[in-house]
Order: sequence, then C-alpha cells, then structure tokens
Amino acid sequence: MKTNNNTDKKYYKASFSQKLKEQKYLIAMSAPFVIWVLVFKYAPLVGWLMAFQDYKPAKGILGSKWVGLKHFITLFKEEQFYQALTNTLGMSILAIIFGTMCSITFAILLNEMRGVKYKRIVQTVSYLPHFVSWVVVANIVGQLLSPNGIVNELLVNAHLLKTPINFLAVPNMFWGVVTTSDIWKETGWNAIIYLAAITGIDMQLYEAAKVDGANRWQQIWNITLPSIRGTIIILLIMNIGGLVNIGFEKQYLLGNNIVAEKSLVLDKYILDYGIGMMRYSYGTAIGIFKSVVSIVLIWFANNLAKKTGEGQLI
Amino acid sequence: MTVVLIITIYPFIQVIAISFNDATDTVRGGIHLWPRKFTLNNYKEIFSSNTRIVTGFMVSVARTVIGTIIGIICTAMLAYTISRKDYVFRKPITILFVITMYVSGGMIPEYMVIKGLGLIGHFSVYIWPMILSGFNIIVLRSFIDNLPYELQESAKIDGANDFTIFYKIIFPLCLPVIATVALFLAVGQWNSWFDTYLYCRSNDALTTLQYELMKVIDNAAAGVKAADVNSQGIKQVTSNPESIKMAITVVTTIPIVCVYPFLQRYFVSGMTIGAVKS
Amino acid sequence: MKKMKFTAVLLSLVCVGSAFVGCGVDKSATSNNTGEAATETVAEAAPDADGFVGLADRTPVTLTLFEKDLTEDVEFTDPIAKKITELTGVTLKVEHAVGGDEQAIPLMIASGDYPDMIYAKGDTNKLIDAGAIIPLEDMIEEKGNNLKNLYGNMLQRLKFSQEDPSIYTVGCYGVSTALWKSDGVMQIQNAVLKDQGYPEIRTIDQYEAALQAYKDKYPQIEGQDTIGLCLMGSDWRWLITVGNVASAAAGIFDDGEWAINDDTGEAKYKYLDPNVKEYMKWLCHMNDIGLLDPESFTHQEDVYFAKLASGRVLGSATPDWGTNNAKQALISAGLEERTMAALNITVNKDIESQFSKDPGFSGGQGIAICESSENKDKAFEFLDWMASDEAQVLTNWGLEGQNYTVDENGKRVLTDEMKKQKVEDKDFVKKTGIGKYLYPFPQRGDGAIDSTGNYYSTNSPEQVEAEFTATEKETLAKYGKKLWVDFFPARESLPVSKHGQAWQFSIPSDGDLAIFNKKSEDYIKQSVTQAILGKPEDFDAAWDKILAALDAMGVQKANEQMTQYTKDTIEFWNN
Repeated sequence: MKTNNNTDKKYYKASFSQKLKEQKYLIAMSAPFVIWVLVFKYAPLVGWLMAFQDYKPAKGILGSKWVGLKHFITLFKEEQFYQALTNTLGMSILAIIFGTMCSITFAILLNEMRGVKYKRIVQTVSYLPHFVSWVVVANIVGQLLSPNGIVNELLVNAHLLKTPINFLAVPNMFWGVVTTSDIWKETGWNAIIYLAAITGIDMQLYEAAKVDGANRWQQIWNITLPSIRGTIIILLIMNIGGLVNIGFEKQYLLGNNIVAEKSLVLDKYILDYGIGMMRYSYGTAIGIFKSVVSIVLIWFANNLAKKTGEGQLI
Repeated sequence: MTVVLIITIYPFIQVIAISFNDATDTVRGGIHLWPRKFTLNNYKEIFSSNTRIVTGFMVSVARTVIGTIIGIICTAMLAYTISRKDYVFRKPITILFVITMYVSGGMIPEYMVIKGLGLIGHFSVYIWPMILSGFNIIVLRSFIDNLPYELQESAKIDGANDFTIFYKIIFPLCLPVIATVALFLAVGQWNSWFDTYLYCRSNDALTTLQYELMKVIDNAAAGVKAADVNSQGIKQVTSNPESIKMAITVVTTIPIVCVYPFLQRYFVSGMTIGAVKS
Repeated sequence: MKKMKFTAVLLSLVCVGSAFVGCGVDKSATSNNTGEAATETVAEAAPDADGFVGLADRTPVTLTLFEKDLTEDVEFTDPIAKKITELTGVTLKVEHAVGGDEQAIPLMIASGDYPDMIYAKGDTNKLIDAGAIIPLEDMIEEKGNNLKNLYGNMLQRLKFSQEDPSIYTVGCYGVSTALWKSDGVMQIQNAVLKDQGYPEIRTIDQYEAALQAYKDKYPQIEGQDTIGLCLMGSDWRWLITVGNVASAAAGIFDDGEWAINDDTGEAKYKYLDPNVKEYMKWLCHMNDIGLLDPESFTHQEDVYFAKLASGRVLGSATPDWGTNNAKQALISAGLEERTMAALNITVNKDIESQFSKDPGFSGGQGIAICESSENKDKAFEFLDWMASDEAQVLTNWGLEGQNYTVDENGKRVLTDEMKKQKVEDKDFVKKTGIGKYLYPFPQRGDGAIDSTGNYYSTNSPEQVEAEFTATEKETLAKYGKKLWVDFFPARESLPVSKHGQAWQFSIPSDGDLAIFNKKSEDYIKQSVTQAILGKPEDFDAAWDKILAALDAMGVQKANEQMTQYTKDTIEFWNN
C-alpha cells in the first residue's frame, strides 16, 4: 500500500480523459471481459423477473401474470424457510471457522515438511478425497458412526461411553457430523490455494530471519502467516459472501428422516419446494433473497476488512 | 502427517477395491481395502456398454486443455488490470465480477442466452461460458497485490507499456497461483457434464466422457424422486451395481488426478523475487 | 511492442467475436426429416414373408422421442428395432433427461425446441397449456383403427379432463392388468417359515412371534447378529418400506398417500386412518423389544442391501426392484433359504388386504405428438401401428423362429436359447429388444389374450411359476399355493377400481394440494419416525401431536380437494 502513494498522487492530478488515454492498454485488456460478463452473467438475470410473476413456461416472461411481492411474502411466512436458513447459516459458519483453520494449518505443515518426495506424496493424497463423490463419503461416514462402527467401539472401550450411540440419529449432532466430514474431504483441496500463497513469499525474508536466529515456529508466526494474511482475508470475505450458498448434497446424503429438521438447507428447500414442484417464481424469489443476503454480507465483511487495514476485496 | 495420510486416502482405496470386486458379491458389503472376488469385469462393462466413450474422452481432453489455456490467459489479463490501483475502472469491474459469484439467472434464462448466441451444438459452448470466474480472478488479483509494486514502476520507467509489464513481469511471477487457477479451471472443465447435456446432447461427436458416464451412473440412481415412487417406470429400473459406479469414479478421476503432480512443482519450490528483479 | 499490442487486440476480438457471432449451427432445433422431400412410394398392404403387413408408406424418417423417466440410452439397433424400421420406415431417436433434471420440459417450452413425440408424464398439462402437443381424437377417428381396437371403451380414460376432453396422449400402461407377482409387501425369510413348520402368519402379531422365536433360537446367522425386521427408512424410500406397507397392512388400496373409498369417492389422508396408527404403534413396540433394526432409519441404501444380502435379516418389506441384487447375492452365495417369502399380513384378521384389487386401466399420460413436428401424420401412423396386433406380438415376443416358436397346440413359447438368456444375461432386453418397446407405447398389458388364444405379453402364471427357486417352490407347496399372489384375496373377489389410482391424477404441481402433499410428506417422514423410535407409552401422545399438526397444515381442505378429484374422475370415466 505504502509504495503506491506516489503513483496515486500523480494520477490524481491528471484529468479523467488523460487517464483514459494513458490507460488504453488496461482498458483494451479488460473491455472484452466486461462485455463477456454482461452477456454471460448479467443477461440471464432477466430471469429474476419471474420472482414477481406467476410464471408459466407456456406464457414466457413477457406473458405471465405480474403479482408483485406475493412470492416473497409467502416465503417470509414459511416456517420451514427459517428452519432452512438457520441450518444453512449454522453449518456454513462452522465450515468457515474450522474449515479455514484446518486448511491453513495443513498448508503450513506441508510447507514445513522436509523431504520433497514425501511432501509430494502427502500433498497428492490429501487432495484425492475431493474427487470422491459425497455418496461414497457419506457411506463411509455412516459405517464409522453406526452403533457398531469403529467410533463407538473406541469410545466404549475407552469408557467414554456406556452404550453405543447412533450418532446419525441425534439431531443436535448433525451439524458437527457434516462439518467434520466436510473437513475430512476438502481440507487437502482447500489448502492448495494457501500453499500457492505461501510459495509466493520471498525466500529472502526467511533467510534474514534465520540470520536473526528465529526458530521455525517464530518464522511461521512472524513471516508465513503475515505474508498470506491478505489471501486469508480475501478468501474469508468471499466465503462470508457465500454463507448462504451451501449446496445440499452432503446434508442430503448424510441426513435422514430423524434429523430432517437440522439437515434442511436453503438449496434443498429451493429444490424441493421451488423447482421440484415447478414453482419457478417461488424458487427464483428464494434465489434473489440469497443473492441479496450474499451481497449485503460481502459488503459488510469488506468494510470490516477495510477498517482493520489489510486485504480488501473491492 | 502419516495418520492424516491414511485417513484421507481410505475412501479412495475403498473405491478402488470395490471397483475391482465382483459386482454381485459387492452387494454383501464389507469390502474395505482389498477386493474379495477380484475381477476386471466392471471396467470391461463400462467400456463395452457405451460406444461413445472414446470420442467422449477426446472431447473431454480437448475442452480441458483448450478451456484451461484460454481461461488462464483471460483470468490473468483481467486480474492484472484490476490489480492496478491507478486503473480508473478498477472498482466497477471488480464489483461487476464479485457480484457474479453470488447471483444466477437460473437455467432457463442461461439456456436462452446461449441459444441466442448460436452456441448450441458447438464445441465453443464448452469454452466461452467458463473462461472466467469471479473467484479465480480475485485469487489471482490478491496474489498480484502482494507483489512489490516497484517491479512495475521500474519497468514503466524503462518504457514498457502495461501489456508488456503484464506479459513479461507479472505473468511469470504469478506462476504458483496460475498453477492453482489452472487446476481449478481444469477440474471444472473435466468434471462438467451438465452443459453437455443441455447444449450438445444431440450432437454425438461432442458429448464428453463425464456425460457418457453420468448416464451410466444415472441409470443406477434412477428414480430417486419421491414423486415417482409408485410409477411403473421405477419398477422397470434395474439398478446398476455399486461396483460399476465405483469403477466409473476411478475412470473419471484418474486422468484429472494425474494433472496435479505436473502442477505441483510450482507449489513445492519456493521462489526468490529478488532473482527475478535483477 | 507492436506485436504485443496486436496480440492483445486480436485476443480481445476473438473473445468478443466468437461470443457474439457464434460459429455453431443450431443442430438441436431441427430434427432430421427427409419425409417431405422424398417421393412417396405407396406399397401394397400385403403381408411380407413373415406375415407382417406394416405401414403402406415406408419412406425412411427419423422421429425423435423424449421420454421423461428414461434413464439410459435406447439404441434403436436391435433386431426388433430393425424390423420396426423395415415395416414403418421409422427410426426412433430416443432422448431423455440426465442427472435427475427436472427442468427438461419447462426448458423445451421456454425455448420452443421440441422433439417429434414426447412422453412427459406429469408435465403433460404444461405442454397442453403451451399448445405444444396436438389433440389426437380426430386422427384416431379417421385412421386410428389399431388404437381404437386396443383401447376399446377405455378410450374415454385417455381423455385429458372434463374441461378439456381431448385425447392428447396414447400409451403408457397396459390396458389389461393381470397380477401374478406380489411385490412390495411384508416379507419373511423362507428359513424362518421352515424352522417353525410353516405356521399361519396373517397378522402383525403372528409375524412378530415368528421373528421373535427364530431370533431367540438363532441369535447369530453366518457369524453376525440376527436382525429381526429391517426397513429402509432413512430417505424417500421411507414412503415405500414404511408408509406404503403400513397402509397395505391397514387394508388400504394403493392410492399413494391417500385412503380412498372407491364407492363414495371419499378421500382421506391415509395417516388419519386408525389402523395405520396401529401399525406404526406396532413398529414402535418392535423397536422397543429390539426386533426392529435401530439403523432402519439411518442407514444408507447399500448398507441396507448388504444386510439383506448377508442373510441375517429375518423380515423386510421392499419391492423387487430394490432387493433383486440382494436376492441374487444370496443365491450366488449358496444362501437361497435366506431369501424372502411375501405374505399377506395385516394389522388384524378382520382387515381384508386390497393388494390384489385391480386398479383398472388408469389412462395415465402417455406419448404425445408435438405441434412443431414436421412429421405429425407419420408419428401418428407409427403410434397407431405400434398398437396393432402384429406390433404387439413383435414388441412382446420378438420374431418367430428367432425368438419364439409356436408349438403344436398353437401356443407361443420363447425358444430355449431365449429363455436361458433371459435369466442369465442381464443385457437380454438391450440385445434382443424383447420388451424394450412396450412402455410407454400403447400396450395390451399382462393377461390380455389375442385372437390365437395366446397372451400378448410373455408373462403368464406358468412363466412366473417356472422362474421360482427351489426354496420358493417348497414354501409355496407347504402352504398349498401355486403363486405368491394366492396368499391374497383373489383379484376377481374385489371390484375393479373406479377411479384408477390416485397417484395418477393430474394434480397441478404448483397448486395448494401439491404443496400440502410435499409438506405433509416431509413432516410425516420425520415425526412418525421419531414416534416409532420413542417409548411405546409416549406413542399415543406423539400421534395426537402429529394429527394436530396435520390439521394445522390444512389436511381437511386437502381431503376435500382430493375427494373432488376422485369424484370428477369417477364421473368422467364412467359416464
């Protein structure tokens, strides 16, 4: 940031048209993509109009009846919607906190490992589970947590439990089960990005620290972490924006009828009660709600980051 | 670390073990690390059941390679422009792309746009809609932000224009993060099948491996819709054995997993920015 | 530097250019059609060497057909397909949704890209609204002799509704609905029956006693703990292995989630029925005494199958399509006696099972012809031909000499080679095409007899009997029955359903009733499960709570609406 001050001042003096002229390369390099985004990402948003209609495919967006905020009102009166919202936020927040922590820790540990070959093996293996579908993972989790599964056996043998528990039948444990499974599956994959950020750190910094006699722990704390702080914060902001975009696959596959009240998430609700029932307008209304929440959250998180100083999104 | 290693690789080993196990025997469960009745039939079955798998594989490779290369160039170029604090349109463009991460017009309007552009049934429908993502752009930009700005300044004094700075200085320095983005793009391209279904299903020459195999899996997961519980349709379904599904997982995963070790060297070796500077 | 600049501009141009112009030709929108251009060759309607008449106009044409619930590719290349093409000129190109896509048909409507023919099931009404499919009654009147013949007075049931009494679709289910297999009812291991000397098991209490006695005697089977009753209640299959079984045990005819009085047309949400409650209470009791697998409501499907395939499960309730794999695994592991016997079990002896009640021809929503098709007439002629006797025999039995022979008594029998393949080769249908083009095309159905005195379909009581395993034969013999369905009241003893089956009603998928159905279904799956897993002494209170919650969801209104649908259907059909 500091280094930019001079250039910033210089450009302030120049007039807008002068700047445009000076930045013709930058403009040429970004203009096609602005057109791209407008065409591929913003043009389809015309579909949002459906939320304010009783959309019938036969009549199209132009011919369907306008109903104003009817679908939003229905939505906000729906008990299940609040249940889904609570579950979504609960599981997302757990995922952000523990998922981020695990990924960063894992990336740093990996970076600290000596022995290039072993390091490579660990890294490749750790990202494999990302490619295994949730169906498979959910099955394994189910077996591990069943009353006669390994987890119960260990806990009973260690006298932590008197009788085995069917973990998957306890609604209050469901969020935990999902979060743990998610961490298991995705930590290696999510660590890649932090690993890339760590790789970008100037080696001279470490050499200087070594000269000063810093041990490895101090190096991590004083060099590695501060250097990737920008990346961490940016990813956090983006994740906060995505709090309500949780998907539903894992919750659906790990869940069952007993824990339904804790496993229902927004995306599943949209699928079941919107698109699945051909209620396009209703589904779109929830989609818009989600988008608005995301954008408010991201704006909020970004401003917070701005105040604390380091790494902001916009 | 070794414990983590074992825990994380277990699901994958189980998948492989089941894929090599006799399909009827698999139903009895209890296969963990090693097949009980070894067979190659599941793999034979996949390759013989569908004649389009070989073309599918070629199309998948083509879209992954082309899509990733174009994607990287576009992402890097745009990310560079919005990393420049002095760029007049920095903020609006950033906002424009950040928002795309959280909004979607839905399937039908997206289809209409693709149809309007005349991309249906054409290979390029796999490429253009996927070249950029808000996430990749921001990740790359935040990496460029962390590079010392003096590099660009000194180049500018030497008379380099913005494109040269991007091409000669920024791009090479970003290789670790570009490798990351390339991985995301490649995995995204490789794994997508729904666009094939939506846009290219009637053109047999353009269907992808994932799509063809998805149909095999689909056949197994058929009728997972409660609404149809009672219908005759379900009664006719012969569910595809678990082992075949696992073999499909292996077939679709191995090629993309092989990409990683190639990109890995960019992560493992640290870099010295000073060296680039001089 | 110049070069760089040029590249940048070029790259941008390429991006933008191809985004806007596009280079592709819209191939999906136009279906292949050569029919118009080619000169029409009218062949004589004389039988060919094999006795087939076929269509007069056999100009080659490719017709596209979208099937909503199809999940695998249909390659139109088997011998029967070739024969169909030879006789009609039609090559079918069958398309289907992939990955559980729910939006395929709305997308067609929005984009206007229709196939020639479409089997849309519950979305048929949307196509009608959009004017996408054409009414067929005039064509049926004019040149649909085969269809008229096949449907007879059931043509009335093909009509869409009282307000719009046009026929938009033909096909789907068979007109005749004989019942020779019992499927999806409560089951008990053959070994248990044998061990206890084939006792009478008619009520849930007798069933419980049998399971209990066997479990006490053999606490372990094949080295693992014995499981009494095992169900698949963790996901939507709850509706099948818990919900449907409960209502069947309560003597309710299969109308999905509804209990309908066929005489009055009165419909009631089935969980309001006291006998359904009795059954659930019994499950609660079974859980309490440890006879119900506690994992019934948490395990994944393949764990469930693995349990069934291990042979240690004494009782279950799943349709064949779910358990065939487990059964195969048991047989191939030499545990044939551990396979299941399907019995007629109800809550108490006074309840008469409605399992064997004839649903009649439900009309259903079959194949429609799209307005946008350039081959509407050809498509109709094709569908009409598929309803002809020669096509019915061809699609059911295949080719004479190749797939079947006619014996000295004039009876059609599959050749020995075909019989063998049918059992051993799981790709039998795919390779031979036998049975591949029945559903959802117009079909006579099981039990219908043609002019030669043969069944149209390859199914017959003799054939079902012939496929039994030795264990099955033994159990049946001990009970003095020929078929598993013989445990149930004879089909003739129960009147044919006047309203068909309620789950086939065309209820608007975005209306109040549909929303009630979905909500109550979600609620029932959860709350009834919790009640079952609770203490027996709390069950009544839990059930009262469920009833109160259903009331709050508007179950009374839903009952009324459903009653109206039933009454309308009865009136419309039987007019």
